[in-house]
Amino acid sequence: MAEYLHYYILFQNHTDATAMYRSLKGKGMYAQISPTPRELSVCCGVSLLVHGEDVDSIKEIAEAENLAYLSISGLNNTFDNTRHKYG
Amino acid sequence: MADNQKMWADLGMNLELHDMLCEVLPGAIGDVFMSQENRPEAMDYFDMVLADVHGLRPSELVEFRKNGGKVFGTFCAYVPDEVIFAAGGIATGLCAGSQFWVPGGERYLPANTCPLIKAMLGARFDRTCPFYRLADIYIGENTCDGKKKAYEILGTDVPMHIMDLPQMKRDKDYLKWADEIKDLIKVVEETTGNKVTAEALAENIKKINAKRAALQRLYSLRWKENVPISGTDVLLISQIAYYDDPERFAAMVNKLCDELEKRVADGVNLAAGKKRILISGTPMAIPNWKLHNLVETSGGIVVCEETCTGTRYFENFVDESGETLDDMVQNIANRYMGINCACFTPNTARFDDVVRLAKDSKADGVIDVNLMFCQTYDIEGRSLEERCKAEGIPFLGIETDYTDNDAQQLKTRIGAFIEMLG
Amino acid sequence: MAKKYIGIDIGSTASKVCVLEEGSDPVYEVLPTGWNSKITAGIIKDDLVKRYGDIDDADIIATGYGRISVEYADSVVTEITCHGRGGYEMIGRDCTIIDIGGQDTKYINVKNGRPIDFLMNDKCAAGTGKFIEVMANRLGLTIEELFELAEIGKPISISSLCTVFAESEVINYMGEGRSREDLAAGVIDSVALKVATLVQRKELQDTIIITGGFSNNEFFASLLSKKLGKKALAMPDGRYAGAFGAALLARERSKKA
Repeated sequence: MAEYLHYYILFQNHTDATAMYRSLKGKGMYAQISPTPRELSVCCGVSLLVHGEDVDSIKEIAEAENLAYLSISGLNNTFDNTRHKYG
Repeated sequence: MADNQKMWADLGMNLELHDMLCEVLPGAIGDVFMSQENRPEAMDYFDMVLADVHGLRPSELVEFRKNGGKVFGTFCAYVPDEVIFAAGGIATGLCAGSQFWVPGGERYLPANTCPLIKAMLGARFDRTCPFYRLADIYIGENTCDGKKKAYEILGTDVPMHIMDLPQMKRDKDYLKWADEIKDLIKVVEETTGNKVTAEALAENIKKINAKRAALQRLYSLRWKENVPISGTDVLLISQIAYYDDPERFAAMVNKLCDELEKRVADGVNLAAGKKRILISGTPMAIPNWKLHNLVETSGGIVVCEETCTGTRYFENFVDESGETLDDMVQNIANRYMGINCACFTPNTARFDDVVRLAKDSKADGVIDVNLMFCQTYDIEGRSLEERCKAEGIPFLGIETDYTDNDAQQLKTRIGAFIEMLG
Repeated sequence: MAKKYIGIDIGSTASKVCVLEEGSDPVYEVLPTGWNSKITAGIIKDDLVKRYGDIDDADIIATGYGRISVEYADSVVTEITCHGRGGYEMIGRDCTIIDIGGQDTKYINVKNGRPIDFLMNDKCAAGTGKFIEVMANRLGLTIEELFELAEIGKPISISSLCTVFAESEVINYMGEGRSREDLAAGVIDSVALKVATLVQRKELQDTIIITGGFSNNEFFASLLSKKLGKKALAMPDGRYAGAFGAALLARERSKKA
């Protein structure tokens, strides 16, 4: 997989997102609840921000624990606290 | 999450326009929240609510209404949620904190109206906020001339009930506010078809008090010497307080506080090397995070908000000892009349609040932030400044709106203020 | 070679540089900021290297609205703190500073050598260098010529607070055939009045100094003094107060560390 700044797990609904979040957190892994970036989806919704190096193990965990998700996508977006654009 | 699109369409929203809001919010949330380091784990609940702000809670309200439930939209910390929940209704704040809604409001209102009021009308008439669609009736209040007149326009599109808030705090005004709450009870009963019984009201007084207690606990933790949570995160929580389910919200805040207590004990300190700032002034409705973001990227940390999205929302409890409905209503009235808004005269108790809170939160300085064209707070700002200076509390007054274009100028002022404190 | 402390003040119109070296007087430079403050910062660096050789050992503080563009600065400090520090040093005692910049006007009150209060004009060119620039252009004058003519004119009152409206007002007067001297006098008078109005709610100490682009203009200082009802002093090097303050702060920080 190419190197991206951020990796997002996308879901069908927030219930799936919550299940995945709990499982990853329970294993001490990094996961951050995030709004789905526009570049990856056309509507507001919950996604999980995860570390690139965890992507392969997340796929295995999802398979083993039957956790549903749509895709894991990389994105070169930045979080810039000095951009001062608030929408 | 295709479900949201269908829900929004069913709610009669303008999907195309709403989509433009969806386009900018994730970026802003990334910049303001995700860029922060060392956040408490238990912010995850609030991150979830925010990530799907127009999906999660609205879908609960849709379900609630399918079963005949009634939703009451409110705009102000003076509207007593207790009586709405006591009738089996749900109260939800109608947020109006984005520039996105302002141009829509300017089609109905003079340009020199406060951005919050303009956003309120824009969100309703442009059909770009699900909460505005989900409320069966709006409960307004005459806390300023702008809102009072804007409600007349809003009332052409949606049922409205206006509460007549007294503007002085004499004994007869407390009685009058109790009377107004009785009128609200009638409206709530007619709308829901349920009676507000003494039993239900007593129960809901306790429920809303518990929410206040949770928020008070949260604030007392950030007032510690080592601050375990950023002001930006607390502001988000205060904003969510207005529209989340009160019991779940209180439980989540308490869960967060458990973690914050541990962080305090472990010596986590987000205030290290920073100046502690108390923000006073006008409300910051979601997604207005501008001032907190500016302060917290300029060497400051916000440790308290003396605003309607802060202490004014949760300070003081409703006395729970009332037995009759009348007693309870008066107790509710007394608690809400204890809020010190600039719509009252005189309002020197607010200055006492700011001085007390600055001491309690160990603030190094006060930044008084007023939304542009908010006349009452703007006029009061000068007296507040004099009072703070007399107490030896450094003070900076700022007037701003929801646009981004003054961000750099504000950064210079806030930066200079923080340097001055150093 | 002695240690150098450098203050760089990237203003909206002009960029100022101050180099401090033990045992010598401060050395000042000024250049127009242009359209890109990053490029300006680069020009300043090249110039410093040309004059002093290596500047890697120098302590540099950047200030002004373009302060974040000075990537080689060791730190950034707001122009309010820097003007306060520099102005205080120039006059040698506690003072009230009125800084008239290209895009904003600032009031800074310095006590015990430290800024304790300040005010900036709001989102508006009224009472700033920009206002004078716009009006000079409209009258077909350089800024220097505008000041010179103003001294001999009788001020026509320009009542609009907004630069855009004030410009239309001046155009109307021009249409009426009023003299350029009187219009120039009206423009400068209106700036002094706006500045005085801005600070009227604030404390003015016995010593008031003017910094910024017009700080060396005695005529403007006397006019402002009249409006304030208190003597405001022109400062020959006042435009460098921000850069000077930044260099002083760089030196203080280095001594502390």
